[in-house]
Amino acid sequence: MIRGIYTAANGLLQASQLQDITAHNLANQLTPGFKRSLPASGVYPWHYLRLGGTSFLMGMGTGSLLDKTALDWSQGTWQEGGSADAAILGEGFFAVEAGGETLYTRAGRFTVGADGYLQVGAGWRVLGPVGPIQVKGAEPLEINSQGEVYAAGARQGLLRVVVPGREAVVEALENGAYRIQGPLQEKTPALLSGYWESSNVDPVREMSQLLLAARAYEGSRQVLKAQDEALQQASRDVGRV
Amino acid sequence: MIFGFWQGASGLQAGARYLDALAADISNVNTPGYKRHRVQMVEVEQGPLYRSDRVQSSPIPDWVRYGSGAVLGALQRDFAGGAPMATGVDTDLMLNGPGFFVLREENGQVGYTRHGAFRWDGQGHLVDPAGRLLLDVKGNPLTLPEKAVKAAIGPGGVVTAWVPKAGGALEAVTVGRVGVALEQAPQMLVAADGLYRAGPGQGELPLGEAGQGGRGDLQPGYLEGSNVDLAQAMVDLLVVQRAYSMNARALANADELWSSIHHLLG
Repeated sequence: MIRGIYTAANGLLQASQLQDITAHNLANQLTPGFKRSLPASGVYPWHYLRLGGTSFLMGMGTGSLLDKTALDWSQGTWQEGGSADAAILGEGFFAVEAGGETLYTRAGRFTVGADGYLQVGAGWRVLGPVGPIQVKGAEPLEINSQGEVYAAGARQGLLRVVVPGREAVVEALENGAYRIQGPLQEKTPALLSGYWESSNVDPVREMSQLLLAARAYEGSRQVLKAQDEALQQASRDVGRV
Repeated sequence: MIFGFWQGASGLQAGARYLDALAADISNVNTPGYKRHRVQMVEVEQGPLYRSDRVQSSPIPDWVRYGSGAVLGALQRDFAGGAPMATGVDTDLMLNGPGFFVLREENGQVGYTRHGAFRWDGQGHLVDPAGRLLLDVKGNPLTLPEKAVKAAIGPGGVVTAWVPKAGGALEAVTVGRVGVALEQAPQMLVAADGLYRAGPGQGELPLGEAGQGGRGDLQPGYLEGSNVDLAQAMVDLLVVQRAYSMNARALANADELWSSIHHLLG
């Protein structure tokens, strides 16, 4: 019965983790370049029990767990924006600098920061082939379909777009950008100018998943309750003299 | 404990600010010189939850990653130009390109604006609807000579007044040139009281003539319309409202899970 409690607890934990992941996706529906998380469940290690004095082994599962989360890399919806918005057509990431490191993002709402450098997302400096792109010149800012940056008609630089190789590992970081380790290929920018890529969150799917998480949680909770009651009976009634 | 609270709450917080920005834009669809907001949300990823029973053999262990919702990454203004509105009033000015008009308030503070509806007040100063003085290229208020009977603003911002001479004829006197301030990164400006002020660490913006040094041309008789696209703003409002209610649902869900566990043994 105590093992049963742990099994039910595993189910509760997994359901609450599913709730967390779904809530995170819903909170980021409008975040440019956001890629939703996909949960992947697995089975918690099985125990093998010997029945009585026999050599018969019975396998018993001990619940489920959230095995891993993966990112869904499908393209997000294109939102119409202004001249300073650009969306990458097909694969690839914009290169940005944040915290002294080169990171990557698909967010495409560009502005000029207070320091005079081209920025995107949470104030990350956008990198060109030789470094951060400085914008000298007043707005309006324009990004064309070849990734060239213009301010008030004068060319300021070129955006850098990279495509990770098959073996590259993409890691989502705390600040919302991605760190890529492994082979990277420079790609000639092919952008959709005047649009930015929104999230790839499907609200219908997420809301259904929210319901699913709640029901799965309820189910495990009932199991927990039943296990607890059985244990109570065993400790209270069985040993009574 | 996480349980979906922070994700839902952060989504609501960021969504509420997004709604504020959209509401401000919609209410200013007819304000001359108004610049719409540009909102960017950013995801917040918590660190990975390391699984203690797994051995670290791969370069990036297959950890479970926890997201912590979304925050507002940037709340900026879109300084794209608005459509010209012909008013026929010769003291209405429009800047066709980058730049700002420069105003001085009663307390001496300087502010910047694109709203060009200026009028001559009782003291012969050129003022905006709130009574703030419009400055010339040297930073002085544009003031008519006392006996001036007529005034006009020409293209390029040259303000001319006509003063009666002895004999009845009118003599043209140049009063000054409307000053235009230029800011390379207008995102630094802080919006307050219907105009922009220099942000922290930003000095006064360089004044110059309209049409010079990257500044836009001056067009008298026109006002710059608001650059709010009402149709787009309404669509955005709907989308953000829906997202907001979904986040509220996620938060409510988390609350239900919590409360059901809380009442498990009670």
